[in-house]
Amino acid sequence: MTRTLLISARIALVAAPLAAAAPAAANETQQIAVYGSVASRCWVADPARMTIDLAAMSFRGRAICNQAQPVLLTELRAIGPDGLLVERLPATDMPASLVSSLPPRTAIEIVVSPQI
Amino acid sequence: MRFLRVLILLALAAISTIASQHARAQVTAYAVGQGAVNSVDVGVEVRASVLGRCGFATGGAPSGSVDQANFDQSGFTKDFAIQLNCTGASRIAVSSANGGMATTEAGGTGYQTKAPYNVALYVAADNGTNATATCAAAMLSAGGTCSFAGTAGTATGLRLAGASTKANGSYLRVSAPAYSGTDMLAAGRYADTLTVTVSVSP
Repeated sequence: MTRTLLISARIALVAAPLAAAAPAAANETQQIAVYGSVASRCWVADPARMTIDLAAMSFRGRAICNQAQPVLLTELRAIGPDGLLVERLPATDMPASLVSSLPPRTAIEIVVSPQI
Repeated sequence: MRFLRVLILLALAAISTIASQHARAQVTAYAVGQGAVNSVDVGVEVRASVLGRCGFATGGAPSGSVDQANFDQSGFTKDFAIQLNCTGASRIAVSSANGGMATTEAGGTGYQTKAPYNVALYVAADNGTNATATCAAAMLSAGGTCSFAGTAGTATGLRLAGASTKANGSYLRVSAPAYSGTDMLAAGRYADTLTVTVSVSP
């Protein structure tokens, strides 16, 4: 006579409450890129009106560039009755004989530009 | 001698009784029709625990970039939203690859090739509490000593005590005012990479 052993089991679940929803997919590492640019530029340090000493042909002024090789351009400009600069004349192209014909109010404009 | 024999017999009887009692403590189940007991209930206790989990929620990881032209004159600021998925206390940390925005252009006396900026963290829990801190990027490079510098771990990073699983307004902010350092910034393209990590914090 064959005997079969039948066992039924009651399982008592003793556990901490489980989350009802499945956990959302998560990333633990992420990267952010930070970019910026600084354009090539030049500017005058401590800009101010000054009178050039023609005899000494010297003046104080300082241009600052954030690039290693700036370009200098010197021009003569007549000063109009309203004090504004007019008539741009390249200083290098001015023959010496015409210097005397310059208006009494003439400015030397030195333009400093970054070399691109 | 007769007394000894009786004593032995009594001992054997006691042993037999004890053995039969143990036999009655066992329950034998039989197939239906072959015995009175057809099933035996066995109680099995199961214990389980759920380990804390922590990471970025789907779609909640801070990502993207900021790219500001002429930042030396204008400065910049940008927020990157964060949503955590942490069932308990957590830590979040940030590391900077360059310790600032760096350019590959040549520098020189009077020129600077690394621009400073700040990183701010604000993390909020589901219960309304929050944690916030700000570090200079220079303090987030390797060996940096700021409060959330490095890789998040059980003891590294800005700690948020409460669980955070919802969109609570957490963010990472990068910012810098117009540059005012003594040395001027060399013209060129500047860049840095921030690595953001999270971890459980028991």
